[in-house]
Amino acid sequence: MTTTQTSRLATTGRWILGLLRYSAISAIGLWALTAQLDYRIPGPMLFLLPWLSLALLALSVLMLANHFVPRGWMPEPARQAFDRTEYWGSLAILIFACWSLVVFVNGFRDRSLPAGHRSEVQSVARRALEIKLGTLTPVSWVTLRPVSDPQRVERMPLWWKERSTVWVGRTVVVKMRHGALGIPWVAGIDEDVETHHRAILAMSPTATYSWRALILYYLRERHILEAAQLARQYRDLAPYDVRFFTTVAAMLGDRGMSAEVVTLLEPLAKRSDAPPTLHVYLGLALTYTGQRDRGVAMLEQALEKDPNHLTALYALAELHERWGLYETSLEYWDRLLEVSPDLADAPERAAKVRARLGRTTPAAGGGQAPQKR
Amino acid sequence: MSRRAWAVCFFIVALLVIVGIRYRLAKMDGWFVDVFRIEWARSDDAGLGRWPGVRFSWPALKGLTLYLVGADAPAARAYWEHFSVYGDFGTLGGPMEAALMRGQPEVARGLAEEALGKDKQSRPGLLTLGRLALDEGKGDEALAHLSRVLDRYEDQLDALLLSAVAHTRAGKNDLAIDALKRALRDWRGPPRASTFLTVLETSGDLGQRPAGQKPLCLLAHYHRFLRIFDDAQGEVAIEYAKQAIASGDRPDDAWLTIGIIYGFRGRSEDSRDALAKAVAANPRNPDALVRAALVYGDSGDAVTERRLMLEAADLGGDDPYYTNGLQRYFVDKLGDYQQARTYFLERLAKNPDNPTDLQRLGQISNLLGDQPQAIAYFRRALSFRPDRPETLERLARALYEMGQLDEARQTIDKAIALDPRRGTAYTTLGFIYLRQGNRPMAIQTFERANRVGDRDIGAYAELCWLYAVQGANGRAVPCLRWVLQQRPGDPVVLGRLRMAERGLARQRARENTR
Repeated sequence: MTTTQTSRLATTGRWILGLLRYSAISAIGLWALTAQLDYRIPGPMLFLLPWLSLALLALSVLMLANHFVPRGWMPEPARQAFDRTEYWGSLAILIFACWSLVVFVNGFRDRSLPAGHRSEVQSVARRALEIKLGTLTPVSWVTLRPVSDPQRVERMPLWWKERSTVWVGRTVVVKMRHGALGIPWVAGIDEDVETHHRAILAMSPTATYSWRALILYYLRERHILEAAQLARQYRDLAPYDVRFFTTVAAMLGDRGMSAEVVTLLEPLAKRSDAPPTLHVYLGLALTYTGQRDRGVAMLEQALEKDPNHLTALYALAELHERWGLYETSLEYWDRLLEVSPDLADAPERAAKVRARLGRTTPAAGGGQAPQKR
Repeated sequence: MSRRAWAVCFFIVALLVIVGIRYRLAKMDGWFVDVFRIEWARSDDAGLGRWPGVRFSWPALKGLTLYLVGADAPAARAYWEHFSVYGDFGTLGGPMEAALMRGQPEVARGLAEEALGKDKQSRPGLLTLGRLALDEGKGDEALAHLSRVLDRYEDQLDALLLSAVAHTRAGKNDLAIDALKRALRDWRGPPRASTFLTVLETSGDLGQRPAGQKPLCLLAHYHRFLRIFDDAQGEVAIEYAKQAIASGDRPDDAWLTIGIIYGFRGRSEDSRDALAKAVAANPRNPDALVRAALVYGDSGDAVTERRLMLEAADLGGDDPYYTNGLQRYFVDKLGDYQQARTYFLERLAKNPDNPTDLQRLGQISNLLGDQPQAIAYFRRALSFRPDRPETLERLARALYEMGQLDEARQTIDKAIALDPRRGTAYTTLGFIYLRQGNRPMAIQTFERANRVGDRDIGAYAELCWLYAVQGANGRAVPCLRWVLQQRPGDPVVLGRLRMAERGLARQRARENTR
């Protein structure tokens, strides 16, 4: 190999190594920015960090571009200045990436549940980096004043999807998480559903959507007693919204609040527009609160409204099976299978009851409607 | 600099230009970039079209280039040339429009007269005649044809846009702005190709006028229309609107334009500020009031939203756009049926035979669970307008709720006969079948409702459950999962999904043992 060939090879190698180095620095800068935006740390100054990260990312891209510029193009003093900037820039990016790694581990390994804090929006840096071409940059920040501590001011980067939630003067709920390394971080900024809908109800007490939204919000946040109390108030105001009360009853039932379900649904069961599903949930709740006969009567009422109501048939068959009344249970299973022969695990359940009764085949013509008891 | 350095510089500049153009084109509608689109060749002349045909034309490239440099009127004329040569790509709507675009006015006139011979109110026929009258400089005749379209089809987009052009050519700028505002307030686009190009050409011609003679607010509205197809036109509209405000040319409508464009740009607070200025400039501008109400509502200021909505409806008079807006606010946004009833009862007291208010009150009574009252309102509304499928459908729904299934069935059949593409009518029919115990027909009808575009999640959930009841658990499970994604945590859907999953597991186990 000649000296010229060796020198060319060395130059190419250096070029490839440089390319890899600057590409890696750019990628690290990008990752650091993403980590800072994903696991936001609130604070009076820390909100600047993603901006710093963005600046460093721009610098790393510039370094990458500079790598492609031929040697002779730039005057030597400028070149040396640029090289020094590159050196210190790379160092800053690496230091910043280390901090981003801490932020990332703190957020990524965090298993704590988010806790909501109400804060009032003081200002939003929406126009900080608006581009004339008609779009906004993804980075913006918001200044908040916690309701519990009005003296304190917090700033944090804002996600794109949060921009429609955040208006100056409006209260928002900041979802904070503890952090795996003990550094609290922001998991999201949500609309303050409670304050918003309470304000609407103060203005329009018959706004059904706000009643509904508040009840569902309390159920979601596991404030079950508040939800039940509000649902009772709403029922007195708008008893015609029977389908919604059926859904609420199902949710309360799922949380073991059968007594609340009975209180909520009983006055509605007499309405002519009450769907059979309402009778099913009420019937189940009555049986769970020890009122077995009334529960069965209510489930039968669902079947009077819709003789093929599968949930009612399933519930009656299952309850009677549980109470050891296999004969009656089998009658309901057979009746259900006549309507829907392949529904869920009904065929197996029916076969099991049949086996307990010592029968091997279903009764001819399916089941008869069990007598009311 | 060395040649290599020049080459690098050239490469970087070329790259930036390409990225810039690409970015600009990406924000534009297909109208302008038609020339670059590659699509499957039509079967007319290329068999079954397995290979893509590149549609390219010099006039369209010229049009695009002129448009990009801001010469709107010459660009529109170049596009006309493009469509007259390449007008058979399936982009043209109907034979009359195709004849217009190909530059065959006599053919278009013949077709329009033929259509009007069959139906005196034929929309394409009247629009075509209006358009031809406009081309011939007969503005009054054009407006007469277009107003006939608007009598039958409320806020018809092409009729309003062409009316705006006719008023502009007659120098009646205020009337032109009013027509454009009506066209833009409840977007029902896109317009016909010929209408779009006429608007582009007109706005381009207006923009070429000397500085002191430009109708600034009108230009802002034309560019607000063009923004729908090219986002960059928003900047131009804002610029004209600012000049209009400075010169006192309908500042309320100019602020309204700015507010709306800021809203589309995601600058919500700037939009709110601009709309507040529009209301301050003219507190009796119902469009500004409605738009401001919507933005205040988004910002959580429910009190202001309500006040502005009520003021807009009062100022809007009998224009259904504003009362519809108020109905949507009461019914769809707040769910405040009682206040809605009080408000519309007051309106009905002033005009007891208004079928629109009767239908509204029927719908509100239905939501309040008062079905007999709802049925009475719907029947009264139908006595004035018996051919409205929407009213028939709502009547059928109320009858269904009352358990009067036979009459409900007859009513919904009438609604479907009047408008066979009405998805929600099939949903109602599906529920009637279900109550009658006819599950196979209910499934078919719900599926049809879904095919023709009804997206009622409740009906879709019922369809998924019917699949499970019929033993088609393989279809029921993904269907119910999708519904659960739309209604997270809904206990009824969750319970049904669990049952369907159990059924599916059992079916699979049975198949495996075979």
